[in-house]
Amino acid sequence: MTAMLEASGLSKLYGRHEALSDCTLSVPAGRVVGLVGANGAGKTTLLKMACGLVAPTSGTIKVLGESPAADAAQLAKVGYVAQDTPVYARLSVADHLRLGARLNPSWDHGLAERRIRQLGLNPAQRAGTLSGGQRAQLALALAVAKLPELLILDEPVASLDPLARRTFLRNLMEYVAEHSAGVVLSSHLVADLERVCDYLVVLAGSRVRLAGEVDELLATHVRITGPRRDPGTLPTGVEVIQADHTDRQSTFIVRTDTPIDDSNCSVGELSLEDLVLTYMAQAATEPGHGILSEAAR
Amino acid sequence: MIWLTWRQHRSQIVVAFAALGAVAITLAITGVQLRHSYDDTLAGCRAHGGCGTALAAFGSQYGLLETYVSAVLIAVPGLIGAFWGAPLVTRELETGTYQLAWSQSVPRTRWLVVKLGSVAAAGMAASGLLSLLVTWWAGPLDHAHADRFTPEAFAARGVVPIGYAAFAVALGVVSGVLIRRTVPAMAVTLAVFAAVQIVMPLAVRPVLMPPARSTVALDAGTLAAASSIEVRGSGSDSRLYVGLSHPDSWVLSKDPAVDPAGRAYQGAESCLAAGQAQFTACVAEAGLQQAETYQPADRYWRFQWFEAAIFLALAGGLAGLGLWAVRRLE
Repeated sequence: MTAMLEASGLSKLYGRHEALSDCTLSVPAGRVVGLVGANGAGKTTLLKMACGLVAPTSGTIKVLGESPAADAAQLAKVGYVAQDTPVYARLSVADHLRLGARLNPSWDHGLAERRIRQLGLNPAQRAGTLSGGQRAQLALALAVAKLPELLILDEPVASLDPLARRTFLRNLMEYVAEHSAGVVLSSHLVADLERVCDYLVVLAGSRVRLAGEVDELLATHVRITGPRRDPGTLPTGVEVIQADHTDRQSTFIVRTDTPIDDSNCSVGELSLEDLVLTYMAQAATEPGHGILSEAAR
Repeated sequence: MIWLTWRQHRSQIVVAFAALGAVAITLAITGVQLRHSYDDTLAGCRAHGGCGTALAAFGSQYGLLETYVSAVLIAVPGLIGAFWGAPLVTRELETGTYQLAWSQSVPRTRWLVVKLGSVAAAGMAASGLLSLLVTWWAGPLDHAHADRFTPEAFAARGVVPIGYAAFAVALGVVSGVLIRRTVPAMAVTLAVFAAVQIVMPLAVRPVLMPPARSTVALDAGTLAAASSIEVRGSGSDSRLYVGLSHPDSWVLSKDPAVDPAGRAYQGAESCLAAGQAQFTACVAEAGLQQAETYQPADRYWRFQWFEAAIFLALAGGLAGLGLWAVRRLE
């Protein structure tokens, strides 16, 4: 089956600033991908490249097996909700649906109208007067009613209040379940993604730090706590991601494919948030990262 | 796509055509008055003679109004380019809506072709209608002046305003795509459009077609019909230039009058000494000739179509550049 998103050596330079460097990814079809990273980590750049709004400086990207925005057929297969969910302020909600109907051959007008009704939006209202949450919902309705195979959403819930966040994500998940579409969803908060994603990509300092199925990632990462010890004394085949030492105690977060059986220490599971923060912290402490942010300043 | 373009621009277009309607009513009323006045002038001078002077007086009576009307028609394409063309892409960039527009199932080159094409068509229609009106309105004045090639009149009659409008819209869109900010793009559009309107009549229009050359004998008849007689320099440097009457043609340059032996005529001063009344007869006796380089009156419409075509071609070139640039925009 064709990968939903496939990137190889993908890089983007803005002047001398590297927004994304050497990104290699292969996400299988039908996944709900959480793209996590701090602000400025390169999430928007990666998503815009996947929609064909930004061209790579080097490397290649394929979305559903084709170059992004290659032609009308490819555009029809990808729904995009941009950061801050831009809409035409002077056009009404109904005008936006008409826009979608006229510009997308696969448009499902019933679906769009049903969503607008469910959300309680007034079709005659100008989009410029909608609240942030309503605007995001309108943008989502536009993106899903073209019946895409892949939905790309850039920080869609960042500006929403907790209730609107939940409604938005529930609507998204309903669509995904009904149409078995793939989703790439970015956020700088893991909590937003935890409930909905089955695939995770962590971006930090413009590089991919971690990518994989959520279940698999959680199964292969553990926290080891025990008396102070040298990382070298850990069993072989264990990759130390983070090590913390106090006078008497050591805590390691490690990646391992085999279960750890050590009576001297306790082995605990990690939450998704812990996992993401570990990889983001690792990126922040590496020497190359400091130089990079110095150059970018 | 056409629906979206219409929906986004309909208020501008409605306002523009409403303004055009108001201008049309004004022109219709003053145009009828102008025709009455012209007919009265002609009837008067045919009865009593002195039509040249009477028509000149008629022309200058409406001169100010004519200047305003021509200025409006010359400004309209530039304003359309700045206010419709320049924001076409930049407003989408500034509000972020390009991300919405370019992620629908319409490639962005087609998006631009339809938007640019529709807005250019509306601009061309507005300029064309206004030009049609003004050309009718100014008919009596153009007859009176008999100088249709003069730059203000040429650019504000016939089909050239349609070419200017297409050019200005494409110019505005390309400035917008390249500069990416609305206000600077509008300023650049207006500046370039104004520069082109100055360069065209000064440097390009005169050489669009090889000019004609004719030599006219300065006899009593041609001298009587002359619009001006000038003596430049004095003594052996004295030269005589006669403004020969070529209604509606465009005199690019004239040589000094020469005697039958082909030497520059130097007797004008002595003829002047003979007195104003005898001057013409005195010059006519010398059997002089004068050569001129000019664009004949019957080329007027060829010039109009030629120039309109040049601006349409420029608009096409700019549109191509805009399409190339919009594909690289990010």
